[in-house]
Amino acid sequence: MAEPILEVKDLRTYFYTEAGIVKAVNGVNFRLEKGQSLGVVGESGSGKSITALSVMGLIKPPGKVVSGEILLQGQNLLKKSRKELEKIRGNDIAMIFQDPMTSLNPVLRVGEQIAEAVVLHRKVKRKEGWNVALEMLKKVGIPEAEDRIRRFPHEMSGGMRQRVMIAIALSCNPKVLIADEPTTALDVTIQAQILDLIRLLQKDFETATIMITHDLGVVAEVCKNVMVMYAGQPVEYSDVTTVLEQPKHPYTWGLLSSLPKLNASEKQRLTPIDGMPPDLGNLPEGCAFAPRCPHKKPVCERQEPAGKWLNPGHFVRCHLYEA
Amino acid sequence: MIITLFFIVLIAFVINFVVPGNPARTIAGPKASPEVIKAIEEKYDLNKPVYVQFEHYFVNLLHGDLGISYRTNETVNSELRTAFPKTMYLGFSVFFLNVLIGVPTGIYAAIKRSKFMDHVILISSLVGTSAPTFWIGYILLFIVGYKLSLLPIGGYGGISHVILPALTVSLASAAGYVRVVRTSMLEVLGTDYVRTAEAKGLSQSTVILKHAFRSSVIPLITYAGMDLGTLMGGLIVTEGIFGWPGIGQMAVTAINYQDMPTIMGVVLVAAVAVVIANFVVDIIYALVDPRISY
Ligand SMILES: Nc1ncnc2c1ncn2[C@@H]1O[C@H](COP(=O)(O)OP(=O)(O)O)[C@@H](O)[C@H]1O
Ligand SMILES: [Mg+2]
Repeated sequence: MAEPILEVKDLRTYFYTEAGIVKAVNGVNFRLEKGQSLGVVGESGSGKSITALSVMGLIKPPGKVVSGEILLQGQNLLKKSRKELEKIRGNDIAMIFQDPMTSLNPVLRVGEQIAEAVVLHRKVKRKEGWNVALEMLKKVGIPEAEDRIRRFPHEMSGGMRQRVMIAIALSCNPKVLIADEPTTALDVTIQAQILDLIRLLQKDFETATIMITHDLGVVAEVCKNVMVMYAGQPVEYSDVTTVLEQPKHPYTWGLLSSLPKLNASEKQRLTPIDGMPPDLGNLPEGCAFAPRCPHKKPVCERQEPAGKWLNPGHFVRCHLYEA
Repeated sequence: MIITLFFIVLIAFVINFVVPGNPARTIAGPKASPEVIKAIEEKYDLNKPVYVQFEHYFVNLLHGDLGISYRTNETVNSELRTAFPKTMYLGFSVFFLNVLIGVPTGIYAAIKRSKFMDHVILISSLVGTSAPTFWIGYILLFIVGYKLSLLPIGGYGGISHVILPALTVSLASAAGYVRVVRTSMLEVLGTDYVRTAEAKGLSQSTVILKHAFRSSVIPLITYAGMDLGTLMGGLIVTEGIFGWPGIGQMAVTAINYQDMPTIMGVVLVAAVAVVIANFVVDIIYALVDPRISY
């Protein structure tokens, strides 16, 4: 296997709330190679965003990364000082957020919001920063970029704002791009455009991408590998084809059967997984998915599955495959 | 605006009339004969019905004439012309101090949220707001001016003269600024766009000053606008304590002498100043927040 650009080992991020310790990320492992794309899927609340923010070093109290390693080209980001992290954020790792309506500063011009990152990391003059900003706006497909660059966010639509966010994220040519549900807040037609754009730019810039989504359809379109998360842990990991065609974990089966199929008849109903995700502040003993699992065995409620590599590229955390 | 003014004049007028006492007698002095008092009443229209007096006053006002002071016999206009700029000078000094004290302290408290210093600042600001202005004024006067002899204890003059009275008003109103800045900063610091700014790798100071503070300026402007009336009141009390010859002191003297034209003049100028300042606040809004346009 090639040297990974980003490798995350046994990452744990907890929130120390008054109600107790919320284990939002509870032992996440993955690796990402140059130009590769990893999909992270799971229901809302499964710890996808917190994983991403942990990698960015943006976890705030009462949250804390309690253990693990985040290796960017072999260097552990968790050991870096704040100053060192500031040099890496936005430069080597960039992030696009879910809601473009609130993610841009309402009182700063769009051009400035792109240019400031360039000025900071490239150490260029402000004017040069704005030139790069203009170039980026054109690259992300914003029409009349010369005019738009001087506009404020509220003068643009959601889709346009998400393009601006992408421009900001890619302006310093990062090695890793984390896109946290970049299309969830957008109209369906715009969603497809934004996905196409990300896919195109990812090739162009050779950026390794982590695509967070709760939509396996998006993963199928954009990603090479998939990590399925449940209750702060990866429960299945493999390449897209394997996960979509030969999934092993009961939770993945559930996710897949709740996916609308292109060739299915109109009347075929979605079958969402029964029950609710567990309370991360009060996890059940044994497997976190057991209470909802249609295939559970007595052992599932006693003992946490350790997880197993079925073959070199396919990881599953389930008692069906243990021993 | 004219309507606002009309009602201000009306209210001030009515208040003056319900206050007991005879202005003519006050002007003439306790020993004056009834004839003298009558003559004075003639001269100043005091024997006419209220509505006539009011009409008279309002018509003159529309011509920019505020009448003649009962006490000094000078036109109220000319007295205001010397006094008002001095109040403005004090007022702007207070505003400057408010920003100088309130903004950094508020930002600092927001960054130190729930830590020891945050609590210290919140409690001090509570004390600042609830302490009466005259009390703060006399304490400052006594300690800094009298005991330590660091600054002049009163009178009009340059920076050394303005510091104590300005600080007196400011300690109370800056406390309000601190809390507004702290609250709005806390709100802004939790927004998505501040997280975006952090995700770009900007330093903490850039994130706070360029991204967070700019948006939290808007509630601060609103607050400063609403606080103007209180500020005016604080100025008037403080001018009395420090012998600052502005419209506040003018008002205090005028009230003692029931010098109605002067009282009315001061009330009007103060009110107009507040109205204009509020108008300026609206303009500043539009300049600061690109989402607002008129
Ligand atoms: N500030 C916080 N305080 C306490 N718990 C939090 C906080 N932020 C997130 N969490 C917990 O982390 C869990 C995972 O959140 P998140 O990563 O945002 O989920 P998602 O997979 O939908 O992105 C949430 O269910 C919540 O319990
Ligand atoms: Mg999320």
